[in-house]
Amino acid sequence: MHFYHPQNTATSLSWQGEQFAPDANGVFDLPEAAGADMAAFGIVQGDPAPAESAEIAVPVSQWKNVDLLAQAKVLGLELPPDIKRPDLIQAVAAAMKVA
Amino acid sequence: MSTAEILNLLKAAQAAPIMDDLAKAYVQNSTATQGLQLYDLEAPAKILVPVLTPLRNIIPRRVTGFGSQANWKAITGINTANQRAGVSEGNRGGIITQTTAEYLAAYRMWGLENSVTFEADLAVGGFMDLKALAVEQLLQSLMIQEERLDLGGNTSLALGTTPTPSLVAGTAGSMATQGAASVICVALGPQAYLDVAGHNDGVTGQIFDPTSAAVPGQITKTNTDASSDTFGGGSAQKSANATVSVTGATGSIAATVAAVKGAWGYAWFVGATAGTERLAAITSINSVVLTTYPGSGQLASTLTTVDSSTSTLDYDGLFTQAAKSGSNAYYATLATGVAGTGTALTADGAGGIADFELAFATFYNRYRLSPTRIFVNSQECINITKKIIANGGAPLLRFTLDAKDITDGKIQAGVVIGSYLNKVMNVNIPIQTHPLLPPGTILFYTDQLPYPMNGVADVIRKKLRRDYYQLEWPLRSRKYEYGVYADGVLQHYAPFSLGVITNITNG
Repeated sequence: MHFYHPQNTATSLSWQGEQFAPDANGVFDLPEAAGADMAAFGIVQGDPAPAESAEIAVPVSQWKNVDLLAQAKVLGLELPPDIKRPDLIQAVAAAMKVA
Repeated sequence: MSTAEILNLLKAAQAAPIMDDLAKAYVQNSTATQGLQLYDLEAPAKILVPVLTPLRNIIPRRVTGFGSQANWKAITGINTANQRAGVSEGNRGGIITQTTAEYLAAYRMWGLENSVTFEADLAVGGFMDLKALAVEQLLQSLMIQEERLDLGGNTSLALGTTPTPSLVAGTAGSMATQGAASVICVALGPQAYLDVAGHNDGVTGQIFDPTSAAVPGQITKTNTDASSDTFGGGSAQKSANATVSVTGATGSIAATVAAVKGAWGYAWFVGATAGTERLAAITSINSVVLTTYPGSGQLASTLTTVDSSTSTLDYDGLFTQAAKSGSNAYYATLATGVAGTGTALTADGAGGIADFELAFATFYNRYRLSPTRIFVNSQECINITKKIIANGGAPLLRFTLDAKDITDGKIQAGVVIGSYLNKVMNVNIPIQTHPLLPPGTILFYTDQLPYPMNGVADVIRKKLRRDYYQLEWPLRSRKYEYGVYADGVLQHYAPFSLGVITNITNG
């Protein structure tokens, strides 16, 4: 089962004598029975929300080599299938401002 | 010689320094024990030690015991099958069934010894009666130890092996990066907790000091006659170690352990690597946040891997009797809560404590009785008052003062909840701070059962084969040797009337 700390402050944990390390996203793979004990540490079952990619945080002017459709998906945008690149940039940029 | 010459000689003589053998004068010596001065010593010596034994003071003492154990039987139910009382014409009624139970408690001897050497007795002069003092303080010391037994003696409740703690590495401390920082936990029964935390009864100023405190495992006591006794010091067997990877330099470790029934607290040992765990903290809740690696202090490796929670020389105290399975006492362990923070008592929003209301309802629903005393630590005394007055955000108090009652601009602040009304049975229960109860544990005590003709004059009593007696041993060396002893057992006819709320955090 996947567990994670919402504030991502847990760097390592031990449960019933076994040590666990998080993956790159801060997710621990623990037995389901660990859930009750983990509550004391603020560690909850599930996966963390996807983090913003490093690329999406850079200025729009530097996005020309970025997969804009993937960024739009991260932002949850619903786009027409025939959208042109300038319009896509505008839509993603607008969504970023709102966020 | 002319008059003028004589005058000049006199002036010259007066101006010259006085010879040493004529210059002696008595001055106050700067050292209090030297020079010609009386030594202003107030006699006798002041005795600045508390001797607090509230349970011992209220528990009746009956010197009626003999044999090796006290035995008694109890009727615990009448008409247990709930036989209905309706009777048909011309026929007899149904038969009721009763339940009985058998109890025993083995007698124990407790005593201490003291001595005064011939030289000490001669040296003391008229300052004070040293031999009388030796015996008086022997009796007081024995009473304090008896209080510890009455509350937390443990001869039969094995705490077992402390569960392995759960750990999470965090960034709330100053621990350096370690691949496998290691933590060991030891559950502390009453006697062990008092040894580690300091009991401040008979002594003063004790606080927990991780550099000098030591969790007692098996204790070997050498007696006056050179015999020795080995017994459990009151601590559970240490847990297996658990490890986490600490990321420094602000590393920390949050730790929890499953609460151990019968424990008053937990000792936490931490080290940068397995095998180097040292005593870092004791808590009266089942969690802690460790922020540094101790550089000194007791090593967990010095604790033997045996359960040292019971002692063959103890009798079971009230807390132990409440915690034992089968006692049917009310025993509530508050939830772990957030690691290092725990769970506090809860105000019920109606001028009470929800945890108390639950206890009183349970006492009534199951046994139709009410506790008659609530013993608390100073921490709970303050927190109970705070929670009841604050009343969950709707304070119960408003100070309305007449200007004439204000003297020099001062008003008196502070209130305390001195007693608590058990709403269920309409019994007002005094709240009393007990010097030995740890923070986070509350004891409900009942000295009266509301059952008719129950044959129990004292719900709790000290049944003794012999009450306090002094021995003045024959001389075998150049010192006067004394012993003060008693022999008996703490007998509780209704352990289900005891109650405990534990694992309470400060707040």
